[in-house]
Amino acid sequence: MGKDRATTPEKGIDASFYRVNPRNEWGRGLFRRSARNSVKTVFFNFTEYLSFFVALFIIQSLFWILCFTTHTNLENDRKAIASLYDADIIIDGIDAAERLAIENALYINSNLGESNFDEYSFLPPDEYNEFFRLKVTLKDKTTTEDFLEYYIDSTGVGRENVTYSTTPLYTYRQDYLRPVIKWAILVGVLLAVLSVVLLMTLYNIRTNHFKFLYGIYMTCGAGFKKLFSTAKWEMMVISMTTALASLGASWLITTLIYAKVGRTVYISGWIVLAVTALNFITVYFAVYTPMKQLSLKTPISLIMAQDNSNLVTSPRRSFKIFNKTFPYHYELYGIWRFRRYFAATLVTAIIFTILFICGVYIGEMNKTAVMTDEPEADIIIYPDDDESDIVDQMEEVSEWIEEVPGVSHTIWKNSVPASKIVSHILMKRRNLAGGAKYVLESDNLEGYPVATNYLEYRALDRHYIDTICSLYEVEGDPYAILEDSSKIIISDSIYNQKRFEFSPGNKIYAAQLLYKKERLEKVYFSELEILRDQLFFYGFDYIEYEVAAVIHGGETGGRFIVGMNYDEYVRFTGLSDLGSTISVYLDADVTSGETDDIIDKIKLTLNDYFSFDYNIDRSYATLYSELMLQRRSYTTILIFSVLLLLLSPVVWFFSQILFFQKRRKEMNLLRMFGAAEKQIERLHTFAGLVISALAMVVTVILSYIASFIVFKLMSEWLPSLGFAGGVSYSFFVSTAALLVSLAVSAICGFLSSYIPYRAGRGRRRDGDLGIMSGLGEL
Amino acid sequence: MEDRRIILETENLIRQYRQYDLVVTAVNRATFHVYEGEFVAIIGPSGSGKSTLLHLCAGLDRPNSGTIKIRGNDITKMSPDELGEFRGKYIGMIFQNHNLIPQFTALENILLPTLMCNKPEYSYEQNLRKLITALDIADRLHHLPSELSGGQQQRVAIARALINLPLIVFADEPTGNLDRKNADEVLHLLLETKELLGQTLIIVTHDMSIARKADRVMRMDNGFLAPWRITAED
Repeated sequence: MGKDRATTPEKGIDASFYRVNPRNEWGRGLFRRSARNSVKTVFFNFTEYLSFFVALFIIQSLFWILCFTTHTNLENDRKAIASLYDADIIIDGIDAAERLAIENALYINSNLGESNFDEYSFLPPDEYNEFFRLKVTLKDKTTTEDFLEYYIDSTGVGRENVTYSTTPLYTYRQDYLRPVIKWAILVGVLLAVLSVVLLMTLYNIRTNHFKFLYGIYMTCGAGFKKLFSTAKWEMMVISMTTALASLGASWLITTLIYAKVGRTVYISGWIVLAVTALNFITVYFAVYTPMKQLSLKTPISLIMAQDNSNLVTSPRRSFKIFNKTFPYHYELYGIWRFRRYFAATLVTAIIFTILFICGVYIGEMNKTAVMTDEPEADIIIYPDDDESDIVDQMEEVSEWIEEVPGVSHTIWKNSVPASKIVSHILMKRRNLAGGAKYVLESDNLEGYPVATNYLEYRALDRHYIDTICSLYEVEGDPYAILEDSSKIIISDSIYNQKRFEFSPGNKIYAAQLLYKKERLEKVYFSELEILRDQLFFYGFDYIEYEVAAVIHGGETGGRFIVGMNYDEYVRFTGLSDLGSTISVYLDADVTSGETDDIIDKIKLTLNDYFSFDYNIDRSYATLYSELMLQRRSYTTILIFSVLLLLLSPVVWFFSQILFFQKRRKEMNLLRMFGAAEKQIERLHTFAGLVISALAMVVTVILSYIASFIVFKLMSEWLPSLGFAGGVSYSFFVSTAALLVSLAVSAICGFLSSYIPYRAGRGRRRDGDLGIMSGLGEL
Repeated sequence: MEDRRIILETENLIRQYRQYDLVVTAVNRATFHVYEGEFVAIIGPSGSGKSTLLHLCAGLDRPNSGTIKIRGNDITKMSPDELGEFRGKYIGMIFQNHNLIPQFTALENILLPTLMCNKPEYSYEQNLRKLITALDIADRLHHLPSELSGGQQQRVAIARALINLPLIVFADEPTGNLDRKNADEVLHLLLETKELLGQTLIIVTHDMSIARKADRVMRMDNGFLAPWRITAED
């Protein structure tokens, strides 16, 4: 159809085109025209787009900071580990003949170019080691198993003749990156989703207030694609404007975060790529839905909807305001009239204050996780057969190890979960303190109706009790259990939460299996499920124990502790074969660089004073704890939270200023009908106060709901996906964060309603906007 | 005139609005057709539904029922995107209050439809020259709408409606905001460009002097459309 139009004969054409486009400034390509249009739209209406500038600046800053901190953490960790360890595997216990065989194989493969290692070196025997040690740096993607198979198994040395351990360098290269990047991706996705929601909301507010523009675009032939492209271009122009500023600000913030630990902030090409990609994806998705919704409307409805604020109040409600006070009742009706708008603004703005509260909560959770104490190494002892009393022997070994400078304490842990030996304990109802989800009702023993198997029986010697007393708050006389087998020590927490209320002198009954009415062959998913069936199908004998001492808090896991002396432990549990692993904890001021020396000194002590064989299993807890502290996660999370909080005023002011701008005509009509300036001011003040009060109520309600969701997320949902675990968190709402959020919601709610009035009054005083010009505006 | 091709054809067009509990029928079973190159004026009292009918025919609004065919294409069956493309290519719309975009210069406003339809410069350059000459706005092209008079703004709006060489131009009270002199000038320009480009023109107006110049007049009353012959009393 268009072709025959183009052939229309020319009549009376004036060749004045040079006057139209003298410098070809309109541009030839659609690309330039689109870009130019977007630049003009954005900068011509700069104040309307200001909130997008602020929002995109904050969003980009969050992306930059996330990438900077992730990259810096990885680089810092790598450098710290590489400065301490120069090999992936250390193989110990190699004698001269074995060394010859292994070295031969290493040499041949190395020369053939088929080696799966980069470097190797043999360390000669020294004062700590009587055998040769082999240090190997593996090639990428080579596992310990590959190396051992090639050079230990196939050379005939055999793994049973040597001991081997991997260093943190190996862990870093093999599977250290994955969890860090997994977290970064998770946080990145969450941030991107949040940013999309924020920008989408802002864009929805914008399209709602500027329907006219889009109506004209559609009249001129724009469909969804063109509207989407227009919106995308606008956001791109803003993104590009804020990119450098956000990069600079984020760099500064990240540098300040790491300044305290003297770490450098690293930047790399992938960070720029990742932030650019995240920015584009966010912008793409953020404008898609508003534009899709807009494109489904008819152009005329958008053009006509431009001016829908000239009704003083809706016709249905207007009759009700007679005989009511002005401006209070009037504005209450006004708020009701725009209830959908107010609800949307309240929820959107408050979401960001709630995110701040959640951020502070997550920061506190992170602190708890970092502070969990871990042993630096486990020493597995193979006692001599002629030694009769293992308890004395282990106590002696522990005491000797604790003599080594830098060792804080040791724990010889002999414990067994109650469910493993088909046992549980009965207690009185008053012994419960928030531990209801860990117990069942039982009528097996009168007066003791509460049964639980979330416990482990633990054997304690004098040394272990000394350690417990030095580390935790202990109530009562814990040493009494050493003399009296009917007494026990009990802890009151599961994970790091107090769940029970015991005091010295309390009685509990521990169950010993007597008979089974039926054999249970089900698959159980929790300890309580097991206990429920055991109470029903099994018969028990109950042994009375008196609580001699209570450990408050203390070393806790998923079970609380019932501690007894070794004789009673062996008698009650029926486990005669006691374990022989001693966990070594180091002093808090020991640095990762000193740990190898301390472990060597422990070896020397064991070699000098004992004749048994042993093996040391390193966990490198000191190093990992140091690295965790250097990550500055708490500070980073707090900064993230504050940046998210800053988005709340953006939504408040953007939304409310546009809203009251649209109501300017209404206000001018009221003035024309005789409303005094004071009344108009009171109307705005009243609107601000009502919105402010509503905002505070919504903040309190949402903060509790959101904190509970975070609590469930961190303690149940994320662990089930393999993201976190091992630490239990309590549910609380940070009072300080809640107060800050309430202040932000209240102040922003009020000011965003009042400031548009003050600004308008200033303009009117200057004679810029009189009543009539205000009326003619819309 | 009967041997000419029909360009616009509507059948039983109904458009209703809900105002709280009331249903207002703005257009009631409107059936009419317009021939290619014809100049049709729609007159009627305020609130009679003539602007609504124009918006429906221009694809700016959707009817509740009925069909609107432009050159045989039923625009009521088109998706929003298809309709958008159709509007950009074949329909020109002129509003009473110009509806120019304030941040764009006159030239940018004129070229907006070419941008929306992804038209390269060579395809509209010739037509642009014709229009700016015919409408005498060459001197004002780099001015913002706020720097133009009402008459000049309406000329820019006309140029914007015509830049894509539409088949039909719909004008909703194009002279409603102008004084007599400007109104006459704008009408003269509309008719001149209609002749120049060979277009069909449908105007909604209160102005009988405009209606008198039309090939055919229709009157809208309370949603009903009927042919009308202008008498000396009108």
